[in-house]
Amino acid sequence: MANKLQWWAAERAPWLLLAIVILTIIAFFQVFDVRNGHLRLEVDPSLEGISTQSDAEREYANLLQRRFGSNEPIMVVVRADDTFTLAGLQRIDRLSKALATIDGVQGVRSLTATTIPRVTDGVLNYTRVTPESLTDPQLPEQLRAAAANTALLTGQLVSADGRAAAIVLETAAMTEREMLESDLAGEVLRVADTEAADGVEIMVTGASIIRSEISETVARQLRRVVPTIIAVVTVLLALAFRTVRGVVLPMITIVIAQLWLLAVMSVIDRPLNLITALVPPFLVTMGLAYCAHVLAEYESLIRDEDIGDPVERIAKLVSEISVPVAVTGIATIAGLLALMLNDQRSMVEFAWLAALGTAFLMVLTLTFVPAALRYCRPPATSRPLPAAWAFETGGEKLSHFDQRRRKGILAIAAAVFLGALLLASRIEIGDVFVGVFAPEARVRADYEAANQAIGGVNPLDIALEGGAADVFTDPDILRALDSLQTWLVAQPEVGSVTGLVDHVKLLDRYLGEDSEGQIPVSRDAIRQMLFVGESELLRSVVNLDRSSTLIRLRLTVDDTNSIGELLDRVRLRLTALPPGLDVRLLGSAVVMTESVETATEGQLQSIALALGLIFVCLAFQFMSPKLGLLASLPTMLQTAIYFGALGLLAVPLNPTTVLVECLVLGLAIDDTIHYLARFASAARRFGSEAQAASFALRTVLRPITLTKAILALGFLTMVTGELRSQAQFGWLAALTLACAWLVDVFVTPAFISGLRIVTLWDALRLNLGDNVQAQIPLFAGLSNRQARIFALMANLHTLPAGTRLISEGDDAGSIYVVIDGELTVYSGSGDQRKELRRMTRGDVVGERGYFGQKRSANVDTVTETRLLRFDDADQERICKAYPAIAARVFLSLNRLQAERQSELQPPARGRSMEEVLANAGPASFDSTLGD
Amino acid sequence: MNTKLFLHATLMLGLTAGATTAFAADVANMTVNDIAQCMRQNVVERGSLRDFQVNAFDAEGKSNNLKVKVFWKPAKTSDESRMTLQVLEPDTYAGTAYLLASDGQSEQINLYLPALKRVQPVVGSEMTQKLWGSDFTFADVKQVQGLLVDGNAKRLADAAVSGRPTYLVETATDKSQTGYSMVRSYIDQQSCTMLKAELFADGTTPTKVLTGDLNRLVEVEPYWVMLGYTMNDLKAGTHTDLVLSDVYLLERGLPESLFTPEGFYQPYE
Repeated sequence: MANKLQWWAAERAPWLLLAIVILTIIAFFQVFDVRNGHLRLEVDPSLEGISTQSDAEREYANLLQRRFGSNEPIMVVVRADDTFTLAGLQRIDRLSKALATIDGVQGVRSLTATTIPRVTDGVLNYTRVTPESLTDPQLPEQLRAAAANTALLTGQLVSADGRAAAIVLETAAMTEREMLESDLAGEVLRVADTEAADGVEIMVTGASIIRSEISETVARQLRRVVPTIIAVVTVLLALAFRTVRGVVLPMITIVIAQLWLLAVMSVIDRPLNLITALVPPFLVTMGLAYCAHVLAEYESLIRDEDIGDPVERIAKLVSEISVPVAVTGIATIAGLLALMLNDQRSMVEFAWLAALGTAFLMVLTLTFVPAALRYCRPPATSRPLPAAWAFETGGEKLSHFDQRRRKGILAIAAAVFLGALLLASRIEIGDVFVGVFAPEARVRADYEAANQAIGGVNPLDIALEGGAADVFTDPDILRALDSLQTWLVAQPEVGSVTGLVDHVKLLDRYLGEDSEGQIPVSRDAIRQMLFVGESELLRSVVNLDRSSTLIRLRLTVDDTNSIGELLDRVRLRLTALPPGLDVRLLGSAVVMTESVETATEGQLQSIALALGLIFVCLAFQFMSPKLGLLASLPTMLQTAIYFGALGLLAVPLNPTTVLVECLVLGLAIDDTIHYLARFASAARRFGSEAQAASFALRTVLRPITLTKAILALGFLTMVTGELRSQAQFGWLAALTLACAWLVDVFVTPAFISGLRIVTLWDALRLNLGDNVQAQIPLFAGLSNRQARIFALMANLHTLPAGTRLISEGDDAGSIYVVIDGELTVYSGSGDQRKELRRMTRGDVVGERGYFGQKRSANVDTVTETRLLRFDDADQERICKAYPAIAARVFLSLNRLQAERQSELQPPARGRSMEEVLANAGPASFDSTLGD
Repeated sequence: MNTKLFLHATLMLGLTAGATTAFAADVANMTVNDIAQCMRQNVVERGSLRDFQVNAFDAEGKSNNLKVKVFWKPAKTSDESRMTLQVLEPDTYAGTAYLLASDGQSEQINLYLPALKRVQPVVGSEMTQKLWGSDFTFADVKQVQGLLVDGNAKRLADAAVSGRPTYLVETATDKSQTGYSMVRSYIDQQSCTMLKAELFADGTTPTKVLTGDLNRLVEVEPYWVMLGYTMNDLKAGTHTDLVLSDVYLLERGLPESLFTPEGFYQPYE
């Protein structure tokens, strides 16, 4: 079956290429609209996909937005020596009016655009600042006095010291994407900057401004980074292989896989967002790794003088690469699919898109690359690959070092593993919002300056549902809210707080007779005051029937750790509110914090599951849980090192840093499996694990090293990025690749070199003939799979006819089982030669020698013969790796031995030696012959 | 605080009656000023009384229903006009009252809250504030009437509303002051009453639409009165119904005490 497959792939190369070209052309037209040159695929630069909000939470947030208006206004902050001057107020008025004319701005609040109640001579003046009043010298002091008396203004529209004033822009209801496409943020910046002057600073901030800038920066970075990575990878591939195919084939493979994936996304109408945009770099990484191994094998094959026929060469190539590439692909896909358990929708999308892309890469690596290589004309000479000597010698020396220092390396690996786990326990989950920008970036500088000037600009809302009309006109409830607001203001992360109670107090001050402003004891008084005091500002904190209210906070912090700590304290404090109130925390600060926490914790669970699935894949592949575990250890070690590094370097765990772990998993599996595949085949070929380890490392050292180096340099180009998260991604990925290389060349060989490995593929390919259990007594009681495992763990030899297998008088040590063919057992030589018997399928040869005696006869092959040889060392290995199989074989061996012993009781049973020999059946010649 | 505005709004909308005969013969050549004059000259200036209801519905269907009684009349000795408004329902607001006095140059409100038993003088207005939680802002009505005062309007091709021919007038406005960049008013050619108004904040889709209830367009010889309007806020998903009861044109009989702050403390029968 396997042979057919490899030859089919080699012989049908033209058809394979044609099919791939057709599919790729279809994909191209699905992705690009050639009529206008635009992508059919949508690109969504918003951060909405990162949210872990459930549909119900999102719906509630939307409901509150409709009910109370936007909770994420844009703030334009004007800082000067004193806001309360005529010039200062005129500036704010000009700016307010100019900003109000911007499309998408629905409302403007500022000292001059908002009605500010003030009492003059006992008359409540409820007029907005007019153009005429802006020339009144008394206006600044009137407004200063009015602002000083209410939390609705101080900390909202003007700073406590009066030096900074905020112009708050309510934007029209639009999705983040619509906001980005409208360039509202850019227009606000342009208009705001027109008022900048000496001694007057203008700052523009707000969640939508920051998100716009993040999105634009990411898009800008992608436009810069992707070509840079491609250029770096191209140059390094050229240096590594110094052939056109060495550069072009990996690039074409990666491009085709990306096109297919983008076409699928286009067909199902999924946009490329900020998280799923990481799938293409992931595919570049994996594609390069896959192709590097195939090309390395191909380069080795074209230097094999025994293989001259291109079709045969490709068949051999497919035979060598198919198992490791398939196993790597399947294990990686299984690991990625584990991420789909995440609550974050974009992570789920990332998981299945990356899994699908990996599947495309796997298929292309097994079909397109070999098919294309068939038409590459390799050089006639056996010119060595660049730096071949260094890799050969280095691989040899490293392998010897690994085996010589195996225990030491494993001890160090164990220590590193434990140390990494300890360090990983220090990891904090967290992310920053504006902190992703460099300190000098305008968006961050404005945010921090505005934050300092006004005292908090990051919005957070506490939504309270009373469940019935007029709940929030109850004086007791309002006093509880007042107490809560007082507590909130005292929290270090909170800059300002406003809510319904501020309105009630303000109304009481002007409509009641209390100059301080209190919460009235009469419910009717509260109702009537709110009725006559109805305004947009009031409706931004309480709804029409007074059944729902908001407390609006502005935070001075933007990192999810600080916000998370505040949220914990707030939630605890909210339990002290009167019963019956449904309270929820809302706003992008909450969403981002909870999304990061939930998603990251979910990702950790997914990664644990991914490791579990990888273990299952490997255990299945090696048909042993123990070997599966051992084969998983390098991957687990690399994972531990990565998380340990995060803990050591105090890098918080967030969606970005967790995505790097996906690369770690993918590459670690790839390297380990390629090494194991080489090692397993070499171990059977050489019959020596030491030689096999050396061979395997020499073979994979080149692709492993080149892949890691190329990718690390490619990722390092991201270090110069504008966003801290991207730079962090770049150097973390590079550092991780370096660690992975160390594990690959030191730890994996040390782990594996003492093992004999059987793969599922080997077992499937091994043919022991029909009815194994009945025809080969040694395998009695074993399943077909177990019999194959035993055969592969032992040593299969095929001997041509006329070959001497055993010579009389030699020291014994091994037992042979005849799989097929015929042997003759004889004593003496020349004329004295006497054939004692013929041995065929199922017969056991030399078990007596196995028990420590010398060979008592000669054994030659009569026909080409397949024999299974095993000795003490093999039995030991089998006992360790497959104890159940070893026990069953021992039992069979003992039974055979016992049968022989019982058959060798001629006097008592009245049988002659000839009778014994004649009736021996499947036999062991040593025991049958007796002494 | 916005009662005065609401009073103005109410008067401009509901209590504007059309004296159709003056312009009926010259429909095709009516200019914007002619249309404005047609509407303006029919504002009822005499002392009168009527009830109206304001039923505001938010996006979730929750409502706030008010029943209000209005009295107004000019002062005998000056250009001053005075209006008093008393909330009748719901009970929790009942007795809340406003007295608006205007001398043509300045305006003042005296506000009375029965729960506080206190009259508070107030001056000022807010164009873009919603009135009593309804979908009406003073700017809404002001802009509908804007063609009457600022002249920044142009007549477009006539249109029909529910089959009735209307003048279509487009008024450009200062968004920073009104919240709108443009208002399109559909004025009934027969009655000179507002049948429909579209208010645009941005672009070509109206933010709000004011619609007169043609079933409540009644003729009170020699006037036409629109007794029902609905304001739909298309973006917020809210709407407010304004329903006026029959008009009482009172030649006399309204006591002066109704138009003094002290009168708030006395129940009106």
